[in-house]
Amino acid sequence: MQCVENRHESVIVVGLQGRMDSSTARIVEEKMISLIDRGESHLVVDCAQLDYISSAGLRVFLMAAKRLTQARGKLVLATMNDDVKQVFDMTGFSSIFKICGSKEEAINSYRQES
Amino acid sequence: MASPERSGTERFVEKERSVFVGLMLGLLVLVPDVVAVALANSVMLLSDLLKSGSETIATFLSYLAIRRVRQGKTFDYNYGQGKLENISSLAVAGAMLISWLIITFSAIERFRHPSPIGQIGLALFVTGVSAVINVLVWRKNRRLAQAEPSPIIESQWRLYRAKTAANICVLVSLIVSSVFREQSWSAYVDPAGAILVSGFLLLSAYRVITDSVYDLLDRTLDESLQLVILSELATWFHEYVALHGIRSRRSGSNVYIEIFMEFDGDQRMSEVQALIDRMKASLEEKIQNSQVVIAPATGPVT
Repeated sequence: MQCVENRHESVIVVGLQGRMDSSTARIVEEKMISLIDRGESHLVVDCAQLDYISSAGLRVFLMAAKRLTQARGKLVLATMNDDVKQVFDMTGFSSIFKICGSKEEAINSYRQES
Repeated sequence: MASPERSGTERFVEKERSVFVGLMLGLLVLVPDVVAVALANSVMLLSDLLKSGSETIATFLSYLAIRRVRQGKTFDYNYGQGKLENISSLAVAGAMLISWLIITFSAIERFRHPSPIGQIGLALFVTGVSAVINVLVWRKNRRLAQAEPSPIIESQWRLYRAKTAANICVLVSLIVSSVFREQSWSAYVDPAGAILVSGFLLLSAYRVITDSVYDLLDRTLDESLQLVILSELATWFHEYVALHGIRSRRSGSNVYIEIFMEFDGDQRMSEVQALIDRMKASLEEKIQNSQVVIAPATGPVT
């Protein structure tokens, strides 16, 4: 599992690559916590190269979303493949996250708000 | 209309009755089995007899465990005695492994020193009756296991499936050995069939051992149930401030789930408790035999 961070003005884009399961979700969790702890509140997770997500991965997104809400921030997800999107739809996670079709659309969603 | 608690008890009594019937039938078949082995000079029948004997002992242990578990929680066992089911399943698996060793050893010996089989009339009759009984018990336990997950019933239906497969191998091997008695190769059919039976046993034992050991080590719930928990957390997403951890485990037929959450500090304790009660009831309704604890927390719980 690879987790790459890029800044686009005030928005941090975290690109995920590989499988997010019980053995790799910790890597993403630590990355998200470190970003939130250093005060980043506009996060985009680019799922274009995320092949698979398990319940452990969903749990990380849920915890991060809650922490960001407390910090008056937001987590936007982008470019999910059909398998990952299906897991989000099945568990009702699609209704609690903003999911964009592209990374640019997700970044722009913050610009439109400000 | 029966209350859920009453139906749970009824289900448990049915499980106990099913294991008891299996035990009685096992004992019933053992006696003629001994005579058949003495008459047939078949390593396969000897192996089948040893296997049946060890399985009957294991079934007896399962019966004792299931009776004990039915007694439920006591002051000494606040979480019930569900793990006794797992331990009993391991005993069944242990019997399967011992049988596998005996069968393999006996078959190798017979390959080294081949000898023709003797009278098989009684053996055919006893094995045929055993096969019918085993199919019936296998199907009944399978139905029970599908209705409610239970390590004991799960191991029992696999045990009876293995026994049925073994019976079929014994029947085929006895008939082939007898029909082709004049052929020199027929002396090898008996030990070859015994090796085949041991393969079924080994597979069943592996499955029972892995499932029971993982549960004894408090492995978290299956992915399908984890997704149900997360789906619930998504449903109640706006009702809590933070999620600090989830723990889950299985003990026998029971499922234990602990969720650590932070709630709005401005809410009154009674409001938080009412919310917890609703979340708990909703999740327990979705996961059979689950006991959910939702604990307020302010920091990560691992």
